[in-house]
Parts: sequence; structure tokens; C-alpha cells
Amino acid sequence: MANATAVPATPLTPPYLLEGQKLDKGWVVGKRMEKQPGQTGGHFSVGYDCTSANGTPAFLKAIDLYRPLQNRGGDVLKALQPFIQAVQGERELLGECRHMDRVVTAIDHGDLHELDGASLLIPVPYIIFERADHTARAVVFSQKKPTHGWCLRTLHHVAVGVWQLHGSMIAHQDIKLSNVLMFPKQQGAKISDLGRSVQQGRTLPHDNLDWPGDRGYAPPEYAYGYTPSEFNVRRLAADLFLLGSCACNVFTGVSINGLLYSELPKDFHPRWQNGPYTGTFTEALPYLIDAFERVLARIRAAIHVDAPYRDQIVTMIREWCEPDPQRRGHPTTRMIVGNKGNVYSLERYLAQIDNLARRAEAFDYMSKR
Amino acid sequence: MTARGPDAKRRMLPRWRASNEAIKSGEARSLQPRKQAPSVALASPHFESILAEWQQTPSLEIAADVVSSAVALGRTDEKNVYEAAKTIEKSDAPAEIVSLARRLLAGTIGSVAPSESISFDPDRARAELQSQIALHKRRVRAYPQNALAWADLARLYTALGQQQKAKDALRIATNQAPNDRFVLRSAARFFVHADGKNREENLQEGLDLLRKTRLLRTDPWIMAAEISLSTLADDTARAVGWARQLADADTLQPWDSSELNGALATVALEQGGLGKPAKLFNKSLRAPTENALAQAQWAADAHKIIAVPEQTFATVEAPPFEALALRHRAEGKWQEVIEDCRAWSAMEPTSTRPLIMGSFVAEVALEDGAIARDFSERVLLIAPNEPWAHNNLAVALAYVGKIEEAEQHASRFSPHEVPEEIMTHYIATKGLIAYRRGNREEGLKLYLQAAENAAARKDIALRAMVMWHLLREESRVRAPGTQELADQLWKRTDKVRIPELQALRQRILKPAPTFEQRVAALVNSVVSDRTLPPAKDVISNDFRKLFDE
Repeated sequence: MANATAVPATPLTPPYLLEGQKLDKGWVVGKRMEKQPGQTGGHFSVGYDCTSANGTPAFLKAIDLYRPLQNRGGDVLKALQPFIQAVQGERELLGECRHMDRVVTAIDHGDLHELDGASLLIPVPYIIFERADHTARAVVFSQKKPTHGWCLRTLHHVAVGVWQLHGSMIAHQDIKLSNVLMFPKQQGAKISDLGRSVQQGRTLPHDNLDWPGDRGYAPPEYAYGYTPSEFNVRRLAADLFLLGSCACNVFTGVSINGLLYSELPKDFHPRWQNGPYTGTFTEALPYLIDAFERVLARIRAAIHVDAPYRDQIVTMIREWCEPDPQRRGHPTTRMIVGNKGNVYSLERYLAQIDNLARRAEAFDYMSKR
Repeated sequence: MTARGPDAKRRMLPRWRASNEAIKSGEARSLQPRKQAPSVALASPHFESILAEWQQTPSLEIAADVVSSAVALGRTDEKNVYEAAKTIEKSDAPAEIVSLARRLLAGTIGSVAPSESISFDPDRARAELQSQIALHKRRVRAYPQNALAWADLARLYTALGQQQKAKDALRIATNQAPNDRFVLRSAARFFVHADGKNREENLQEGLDLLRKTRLLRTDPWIMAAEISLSTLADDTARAVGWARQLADADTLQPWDSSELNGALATVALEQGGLGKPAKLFNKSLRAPTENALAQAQWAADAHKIIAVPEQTFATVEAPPFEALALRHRAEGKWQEVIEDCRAWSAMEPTSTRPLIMGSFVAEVALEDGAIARDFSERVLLIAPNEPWAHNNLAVALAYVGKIEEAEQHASRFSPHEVPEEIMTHYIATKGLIAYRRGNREEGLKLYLQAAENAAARKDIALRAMVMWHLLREESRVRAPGTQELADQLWKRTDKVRIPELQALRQRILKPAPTFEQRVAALVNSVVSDRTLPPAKDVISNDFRKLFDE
């Protein structure tokens, strides 16, 4: 068992000393943020509050090039190469996402060459993002319990975000409530953190990993060592699973994996999680499906009995989180598209969730009255 | 006379348990090599950063993330996770995360719920089965991809005697999971169990399923099933070669190969050529399943080639009811056998074997019609259209004096509908009913006719059973010379290995008092004997002499 990592002391390298610095185009760096919403995946970055020349709040992500360079005892160039590739890849992906209104996109980016007037030997690259109020996770666990209207509307926004990404053949691979940011003034939710995303045709270092995102949220095929060869099954089906996990989290407070592995008999827990199971994913599938059936019953029980859309929500979660990646997605889409297109398209779901959200908002309104 | 006794030839057939019971017993788990590097959970930077976040700002939202991820990553034993779960437990967080935190704290993550048991009483069992079938139908309707639910539904249908529905459900289960050990073994067991005219076709379908799967080359549980089904079907087992290699290499945990060693030992015992059966049986007993233990106990009783140590019974994971029933039967502990058979039937409600053994012991060894009736009525729930099941109930009913009902069940099938192998029993039961009606002449004629039947001519044990039953009826009517005949018969049939015969013989040699005799004894103990002179006449003179003078 790995031990919990102690919080590291703040290093005295330039990326950690940007408070009060003025950047190009009038951006002013504010306080360093110990915990920046939606940036949990950034292992080599430092977050800051920042404001534009006209006072618009934003979030700055400073890339810490010093960390891979301090790779003592190892090959510095080897350590630096994937890191630079990842940063470069994220920047390029963010560029592709400019037009997506449900994805947190970069407002600006650049490199800082001077610190308090002194030239830096190694510049600090940075990316500036829209600034969110908080994460969706914070709302789910806030004192004031979220209504079904809020849950479904947020889910709709996330689904639209995923759909927009999939339209550019980008798979997010790290969709979870802490990466769903809530924006003020009725803007709703947006997906953030493309640090683990992959795009078909683009080489990114983490694309070679068995699972690029958070292992705690990984679809079961990865936990059992099965990586599908086809991009759609490997990446888009995984995004659908993560979207379903988000939906489950919104309604129950638990990720789908939390429920799935609590229901799966111990003998079938994969070796990924120190379990005794030595078989293949296909052999484990009947037991995963059986456990998943109990998970669906739990989700169903967690949604208010009076909610007229309960069955539809459960059906959607079932179709998104099917343990077998080949069965994920809308059955009609799968039937019509067959092998000729993207069977994991979210198109059919968007209108459905929007409709459910409207009904739930009306239901909430009536309940209040 | 009771048709179908306890197995003369036991096969290492798979048990058919409910899926959760099979999982609990360990039969469904993946193969565990003898030498295996300990598994280590992979590092997860995300989880480490959540833990760090939890240490810095221990809020409810982070606690929920810590608990969810810890369950998904198998890191529930860590102190920080435990603290996060404690925080959630006391909070007003959504009910499902609170429930997860509680299960984590209680250490019940990944534990399997027990399945609902089925009563022994046939009426209650019927109601319980129907209610569980309704529940499982709802399950498969809501989520038709669940092969385990289909297999469980088939099991319930089988326990209720609805063979065709069971077969349909199993076909769906095997289509959904054609390479799953539990599903395949359940199906194989069903196709063995399925009785009637299409028995051979069914056996072949079961064998085809086992032979189609790629597991046949690698999985000892599937190999054991294929070998046993093949011997039943008088076919050459395909898995023997791979099975011998696997058994010789002995690279798996003894538990995983116990049924395979038991199956190979049984083949070696009956056909030879696979090595010493005793050695293979002893190998199967290193860490036996309760099924492998029962097989070894059967070999110990029927062939006397090994001795099963008493302490082995305590090592098996599931309760070894069948093995206990076999052991108690060999020891002549009939009441214990009855209890074991009841428990065995509850464990395996699709099987008629515990019920056959229970009713056989009740009828032959104990001559207890009431117990035999319980078992025979329960059999009818599983096999409602089987002539042998009705025959056995007729015997039980005749024992408890319900002659008309016994006649109805005995005559439910005309002689041409009765299979040849139970024709002897059928005629003998008619003889029993005639005796119990008081028609000794007819009864005697029928019993002798049964003993001359083709099946009895081929099988000395069957003929012996007929004659012992005839003598029992003769003894009941107090026919003179019965005991001498019993001695003669014993000398001729003492090689027949049916433990219950000894009890039957004892009853013939020392018959228990009849009901009338017992009533007369009771009456005699309280009513004065009028044949004696009155006491006052005999003693009054003495009273006068002793006290008045």
C-alpha cells in the first residue's frame, strides 16, 4: 500500500514567485492558489488568481519547467521531452477548443521572461483560463442540497461539453465532478482540465499510458488490463463511462467506480487495486455486469421516488457506464450507425437530457411553491 | 418399492448453486497459481493529491472523493481513508455516500449477500420459488445482459420442475457468457439433471457447451465437468489429455484442482489407465471442495480404496452435507442421514439426489412412511411428471395407510408408459399395495412377478431388494417361517452392498409389535384380567386372620 504523500514545501523557483507580476496584454498575477478548482491533474504547474486590464478575473496556470530539470540521477532530457510534449499538446488542444462554449478554454497564453525586472534563464510558460466560482463537486456536498433541476442542467452542460470535444475527436479522459467548473451569471457548467486529453491523430505522451486519467475513475476494462485497439472504443467509450460516473456522482455523491467495486465480490477485484483476480477482462465481465445491476438499483433508490424522470436517468447511466465498452452508448445509434460511424455519439442524449432538465426545473419550481 | 436408490456410481458432476453462493464458496474465482507474486496496488498520483488535499482542507466534498477513489483503488485500509469515512458517516451527506462510508468502516466492501433459502416443505417451497422467479424475471427484464441472473432464473425454474423454461433461460445465459465457468457448469448440471425421453440429447447439448469453450484446455473446473459428463454419456472425454497434464504439473492451488483430481480418480477407478485412483483421490483431498469430499467419501464407502480423515470435513468452505449423508449412511446412522439430506436439498434444490436418498433411507431402513412422504412429495416439485417419483410417493402413502391415494399415484402411469428400468419397482409397489389392502395372495404374486422382471434378472441387488421387501410384508402379516427364509436370503444376498438392507433384515428377524399388539399391551396394563380369581376372594381370609383376630 502506498502511503499518503506529505504536502511538499514550496520551492523557491520562479514559477512559485509570480505574485504581483505584470504580464503581456495587461494581465496582473494575483495570489497563488493552493487549491485551484479544476486543476487537480496538474502535477507540474502552479495556479494563480489573475485579472485582466479591465478587471476581469481569470486563472493563470504557470508551467514549472524547473521540476523536470531537477531530475537528479536521471536523464534530464528524457524527463523534459514528454513534459514539453504534454504542455505543447495541451496548448494545441486548447487552441482547438476555442469555439467550444462548454469547455473551459484558454483566454491567453505566453511566456514570462523577466521576474521583477531580472531576466530569467529559463522562462515560465503560462496559460490563462476563464475563472470559475467553484467546482460541481462543491455544490453536490454543499449545505444547500442541489435540486434535480440543477443536477440535470449541469449534466446537460457536461454532456454538451463532451459532445463538443468528441466532435473534434478529442477524448477528455478525466471527466469528474472536480473537473466540472461552475461559472457565475447563469453561465452554468463547463468541463475543465484537458491535461489528460487525447486527440485522434495527435501524438501525446500520455496516450501511451494504459489509462491517462485518474485511476480511481477509470472504466473497468482498463482496471483489468484490457486496452481496446480502436480509438473510438478505447477513448470515446471511456469518456461515456466517465460522463455516466459524473451523473452517478451528481445524484448519489459517489462515483460509479465507488459503487461498482463496493458491489463486486472481493474475489473479482483486479490486481490493479491489489485484488486477487488473475483472469481476463472478458472473464470478469459477467460478474461486473451482475455488480453493475446492483449499482443501478442503488442509483434508482437514491433518486427521489416522485421524480417522473427517474427511470430515464437510470437508463442513461446504464447505457453510458455499461461495463462492456462495446455495449456503451445509445442503442438506436448503435443499431443505425453499426460499424460505419461513431456509435458513442452523444447527439441523441443531448435533447433528452435538456428535456429532462426542463421537466426537473419545473418540478423543482412547483415543489418550492 | 422405492425406485432409484442412492448412487451406485457417483460422478464428479458440478454443483448447481445460486450465483452468489457459488461466488461465496470460491467456485467462481479465477485460478490461483501455487507460486504467485503478491499483487501491489499501482501508484495513483491523483489519489495521492486528493489525500494531500484532504490533509490540508478536510471538507466533506474531499472526504467523499477520498472514499470513492479508495474503494475503486482498493486502498480502503489506509488511515486517512478511514478518517474520511468517519467524517462522512457523521455528516448529512447524500445517503449513498454515507452507506458506502459505513460499509467501508464495517469492512464489508465486496462482500456477497447470501441467497434466499428454499423451504423443504413442498407447499412453502413452491410459493417461495414462485416469488423468487418473479423477482428474477424482473431482474432480467430490466437488465437482460446479466448472464448470472439468467442462470439463477434457470435454477429456480428447474427447482420448480419447469424444464423447458429453465432450458430457455440457460441458453440465453450461455449465449451471454459462453466462456464463464459458473454459467457453463450450471448449464452442464442442468443437462445432466434433465430427465425423461430426451436425456441423451440433453447430455449431448451439455457436452457441446463444455467442448466449445476455450476454457476446456485451461480450466480444471470445466475439465472435471466434461470428463464426468462424457462418462455419463458413454463418450470419450476430450479433456483427459489436458487434464492429466494439468494434474501432473500441479501448478495450481490444490483447491482449484480438487474436483479435477476427483473426476480423474473416478475414471481411473472405473476404467483404469490413469494411474492409481487412491493417489488421485488423496490429491483431491488436499484442499477439497465439498463436492470433491463427497466423491472421495463415496469411493471410500463403495470401493474401500481410501479412508477420508474425519478432520477433512472441517476444512471445506461450504458445508459438506452430501459427504456427511454418505458417511452417516455407511455408519447406519439413519436419523442423521435424514437431516443431512434435508440440508443437502436446501443447498441444491434442483437436485433429486438428496430426496432420493432421504426417501430410500426412510422407507427401507426406517420404514417411516411420514418422513418418506415428505421427501417424495418434495421430489414431485422438481420432477412432477416422472413415473419413479409417483411410484415413490405411492410407497410412502401405502406405509402411512393411505391406500387409495397410494393406488392413485401407483396407477398414474399405465405399464407401457413406465420405463423399463423401473418396471420392477412399479410391479413391487403394486404388490405392496395389495398386501396393505389385506390381499396377501395378490401381493405375493406381484412381488414374485417383480423379481422375475427383466431388470431384476440383470441386477442381483435389485432382485434382492424385491425379495427383502416381500419378506418384510410376509413378516408384517406374521406368516410362519418368514425368519427362516430371511436367514436363507441373507446368506444368498450378503454380498449386496446396500447398508439399509441390514436394518430391514433386523426388522424381519425381530419384528416390532404391530399397532394392535401395542394397544393390547396398553389395555392389559390397566384393565384387570378376568381369567384370574378375584383378589378379595383370595386375600380376604388372610386380612381377617392378620388384623381382626
